Amino acid sequence: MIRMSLVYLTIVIGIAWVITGGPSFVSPPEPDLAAIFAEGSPPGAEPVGMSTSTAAALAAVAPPGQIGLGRPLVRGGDAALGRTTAAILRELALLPKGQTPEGTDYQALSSVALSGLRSLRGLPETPGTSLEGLVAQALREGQSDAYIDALVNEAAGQGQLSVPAALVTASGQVDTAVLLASLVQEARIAAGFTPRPSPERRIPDSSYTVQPGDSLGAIALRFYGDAALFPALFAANQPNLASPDQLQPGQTLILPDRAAP
Amino acid sequence: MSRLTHLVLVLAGLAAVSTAAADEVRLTADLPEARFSLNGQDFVIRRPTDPTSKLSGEFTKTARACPPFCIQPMVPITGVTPVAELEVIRFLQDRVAGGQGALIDARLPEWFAKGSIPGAVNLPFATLSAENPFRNDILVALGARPLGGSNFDFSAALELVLFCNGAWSDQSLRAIDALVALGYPVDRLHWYRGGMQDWQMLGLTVARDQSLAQAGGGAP
Repeated sequence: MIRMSLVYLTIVIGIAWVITGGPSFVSPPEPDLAAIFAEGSPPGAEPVGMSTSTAAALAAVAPPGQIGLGRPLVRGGDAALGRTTAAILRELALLPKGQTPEGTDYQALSSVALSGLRSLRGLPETPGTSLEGLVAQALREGQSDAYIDALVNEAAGQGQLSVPAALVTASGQVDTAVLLASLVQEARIAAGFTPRPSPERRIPDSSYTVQPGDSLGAIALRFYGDAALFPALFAANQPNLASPDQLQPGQTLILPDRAAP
Repeated sequence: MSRLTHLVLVLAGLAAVSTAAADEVRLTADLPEARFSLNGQDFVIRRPTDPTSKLSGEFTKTARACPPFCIQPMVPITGVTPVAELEVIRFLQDRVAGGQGALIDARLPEWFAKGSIPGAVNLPFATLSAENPFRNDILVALGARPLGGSNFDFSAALELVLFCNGAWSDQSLRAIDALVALGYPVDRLHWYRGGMQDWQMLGLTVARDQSLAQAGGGAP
């Protein structure tokens, strides 16, 4: 009885909090309560309110073998970031659909395997819960960057999706800012508004101290004008960086004299 | 009753017995058929009772170019154990039905759709290559726990039996090689070398379009 009352109280306070204006990322741009709970709300939208410290607390008590709670599950390979931006832009019809340039449609092959294994293990089917699907849907709905950041980090923290390694910050978050900046940049290039950043652009050899919010993609974007150029940065910092997602705050990175990747 | 009538009755009785024996095609003397249930879906494996049943199509061929269709060894990697049909069936009934294992068809989806072992999951060998950006998602789906970067804890990973078209195909071996290189414990990997070639040669039940059944969440 007391528990029921507490649940009821929590719901009432929660609704009042949303109506009176919580943080901007909880409400869509137009504050319409119906829209928040409409069927159109993106998958995984509900747990936005859960803080990252809660995720960390849950990760600490998760039994071994439980699907990861904590640092995001990463996708390796130099092309992962470029593939992700291209896939989102294709979903938004900002890039033409068509065959993937690589020849093998790894996403289709993998989704067959993932769906089969999840079904076998009795895990919930999560259609559309890919980084690409989540971001594309949120962008179609006109959600704010902060909302997208909370949405993606919530899903990644619960191990529901994998992200390109270059998007993992030194503090273990997903750097959605760099992803969104890359989307805008690639869309503008595709539309012929801006040329691709010149690979000949040179900067002096120097070093950089990693900040907690930095991802390798963000550092590449800041110093070389293109997040997708992170592989050159990664290569220059061998063997002190095991993987692009293993940046540590305070770590010193060599910024190589700009060379074509 | 005359002796002749007796003889006719005895002969008729013998004929009936022999017909019944021909109709009965068990898996083994003790095992008429194998049944198991995975995630709410029922499966049965049996052999055909039609005496004219024969192999057909791709699996009647004996001539194939090598490479790529080369003859494979029995033990591809030390520690990976070879299994045959009865072990595969027992594995499905015990480990897979118990949630601790998966029977992996390592071929491409077109082949899987045309016919595979009941209860198998399609994990195309190409998905384990380094070029696949979703390879880590697959390791997690196999029960590996991500430790950051390309490091995984496989202590709770599923036990796997892998197969492909048979002893003339290397697709499941490529998958096994890739898994071992990624750190999958060899004692949790088993190889059904005979694959679809031997499975169908024995007339064992083949399931078609299982991926569709799986996509439906195992609904009957």
